[in-house]
Amino acid sequence: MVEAFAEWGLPIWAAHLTAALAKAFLLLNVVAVGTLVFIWMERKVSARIQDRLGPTRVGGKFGWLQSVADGVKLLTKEDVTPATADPLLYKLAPYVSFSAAFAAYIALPFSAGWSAVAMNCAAFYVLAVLGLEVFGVILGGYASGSKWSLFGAMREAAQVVSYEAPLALCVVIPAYLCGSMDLHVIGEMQAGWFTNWLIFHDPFTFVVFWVYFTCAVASVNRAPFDLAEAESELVAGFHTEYSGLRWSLFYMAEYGSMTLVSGLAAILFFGGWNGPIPIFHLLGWADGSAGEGLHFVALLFGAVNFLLKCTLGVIAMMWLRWSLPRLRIDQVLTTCLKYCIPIAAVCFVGATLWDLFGAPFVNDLAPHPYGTRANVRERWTDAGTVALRPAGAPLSSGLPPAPSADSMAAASFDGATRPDAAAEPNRRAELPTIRRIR
Amino acid sequence: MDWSFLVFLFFASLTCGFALAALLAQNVVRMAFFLILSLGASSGLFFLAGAEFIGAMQLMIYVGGTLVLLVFGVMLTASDAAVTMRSSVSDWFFACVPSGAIFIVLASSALAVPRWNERQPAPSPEFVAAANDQTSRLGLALLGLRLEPGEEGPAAGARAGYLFPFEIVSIHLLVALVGAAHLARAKRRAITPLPESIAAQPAMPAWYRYLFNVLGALAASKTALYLFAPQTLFETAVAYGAPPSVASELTTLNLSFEHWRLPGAAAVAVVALGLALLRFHKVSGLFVETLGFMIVIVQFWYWGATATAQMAAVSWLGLTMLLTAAFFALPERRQPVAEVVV
Repeated sequence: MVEAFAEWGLPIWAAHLTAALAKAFLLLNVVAVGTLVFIWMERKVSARIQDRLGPTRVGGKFGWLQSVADGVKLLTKEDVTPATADPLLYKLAPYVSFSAAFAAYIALPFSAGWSAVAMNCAAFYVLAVLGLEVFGVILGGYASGSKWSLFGAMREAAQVVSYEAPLALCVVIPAYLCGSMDLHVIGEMQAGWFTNWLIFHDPFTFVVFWVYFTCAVASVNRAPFDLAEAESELVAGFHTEYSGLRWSLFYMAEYGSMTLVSGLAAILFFGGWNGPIPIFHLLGWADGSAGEGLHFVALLFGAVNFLLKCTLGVIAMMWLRWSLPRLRIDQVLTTCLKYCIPIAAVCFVGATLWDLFGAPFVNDLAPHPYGTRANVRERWTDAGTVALRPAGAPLSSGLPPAPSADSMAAASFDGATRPDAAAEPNRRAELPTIRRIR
Repeated sequence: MDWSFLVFLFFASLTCGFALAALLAQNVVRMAFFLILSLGASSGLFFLAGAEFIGAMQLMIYVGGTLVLLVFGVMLTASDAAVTMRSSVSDWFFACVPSGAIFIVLASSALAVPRWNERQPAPSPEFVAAANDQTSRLGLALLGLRLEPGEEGPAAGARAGYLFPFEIVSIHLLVALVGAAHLARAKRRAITPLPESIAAQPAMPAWYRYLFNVLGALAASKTALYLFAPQTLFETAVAYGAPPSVASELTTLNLSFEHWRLPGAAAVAVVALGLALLRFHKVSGLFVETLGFMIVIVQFWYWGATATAQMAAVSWLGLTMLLTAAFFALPERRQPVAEVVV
């Protein structure tokens, strides 16, 4: 993207600035518009679950402008600061929460190569930044100068230390199976039919997805883990004293991180931007050999796939919220520490052994377009060959050269020509270089 | 002027400004808040330098760690004296002398790096391409295979890497964790009488308390060895027949399922037994479990894969840490809720 702006005649700093602003604008719209849509959806979903109609008036048939009406109402509310509050921290807390949720989107890919920043430790970065969102919650709860808020903040703190460990352990397993923390690589490794998705890699990854989902729900403060707000006990928990725009920033952070953890789940376990049926791989559009325009269409549909999977994840969280009662704080700690951690640890060992022995599972039903995953993963030993190369040899980027379109097509969906790992133990399957928008 | 210099100035001034604000603030919670902002801004500096993994680590460890500090150390203990802190002149003096000394040492050693004083030519594309794969090189270095970009000849790949410090840190953390759990547990027992259902459980065996001493001595001796005789240790490892690289070890061993069947089945059986035992008697369960992992590690050692055995030991430690946290640090489920949290 920077190069494109530079070609238009902008100086390099202006090109960088314009590219950064454009990406920030796009991501901000994902969070803000996403929040508006999801709040409307939450109303409709909860209404249907409770056998009601939900909003029907504003904006016509389904009340689809209800969120805009809510937004206008929030804008016109008075911005109150309690007398006992610490004014500086009280006013800053919502921004801390929102910017943490927003910053995590920087590394999230929306389609093959479509992310604001291509980061080789994207999964870890997203986890690290996601953990900072609670900072705003705790700060807001403390700075409000209210007992209800402080109770909410303390519960949140206790909850944080319990869910972060199992959540990280769940993310380790897909990262291990793909040999990379780069979300682009993890997504591309699941290309092909839906049987190639990592949730179907072995029974342990299937189990660990549910552990991930549990911890993810806890990490975004949604029922049944919404102890920090607990409106039946703590008035509104940490945001009791907030009103108007600051309150809505907390809400945007919550919905933004809901979308984020769903997107992470989609990439780690459900193939990311790869649809259940690899239409564009079969047509040959996905690798760019059929021309730039068709490749762009394939990428665009990848983004649509990804957003659909995100939405499904968010709907599942809404379904949970309106179906399950809230847990007590000790039940939350027990769930996360005494059940999720051991289950995730056992699944980690199990998935490792399953992969080591190469035991068959759903993943082996359809061939993977880029060869067996283990061969691709073991590419990390190639880093040694990069450094040990003979003097004067050209230094590539570390990735093997991208295969030609013919060999890709031959290796992908014939089924018969699947590369056999046992026959050639040292063969390194070739992962096509992922195109990135800079 | 380079455009990235402006971004550097931005993050650097944020870091320094918030650090100053943390110094000058009088409210202890605000201090912690500014400290977190300062640490977060310095992670921006890492991202600017292209060290994404270190930047994310900074966010995870320092910012996240300070967050916990803020919550448990500051918010819960903040009384009126801490909300408006007035430092006396003597406080300032005794704070300024050591921190000023450290600052002078740091600044002088930073300015002594000769490369930073003169203007460097832009790095070659080859160097940038090799440096692009930062994270995996860092990971390899943590597992004992350290590579420098553009390094050639017989020296390449023959560095020791950071496996050993990594392992030592793990042991230290394990000792700290077990010790903290032990302290917290003993305290609670002393204050409140336990329900009968828990008091009836078998007491901690007498040898168990020596576990802390043994682990601590192990960590201390390993640290001493690493500090005073790193070369000897490394040469011993190489003398066992293993090159310092996990990757080449595993490829030369060329293990197949046949190799793994017996030790693998034994290890899995013992680990499963340990997990089952954990349900009834935690200490012996954990002990049996470590035995299962020891089988794997000894097997690797027997095959001559020293570095791999070390790697397995590290991962075993990690898993034991998690299990220790899960089974020891937590109070019993049957205990009254009010004691557990808030």
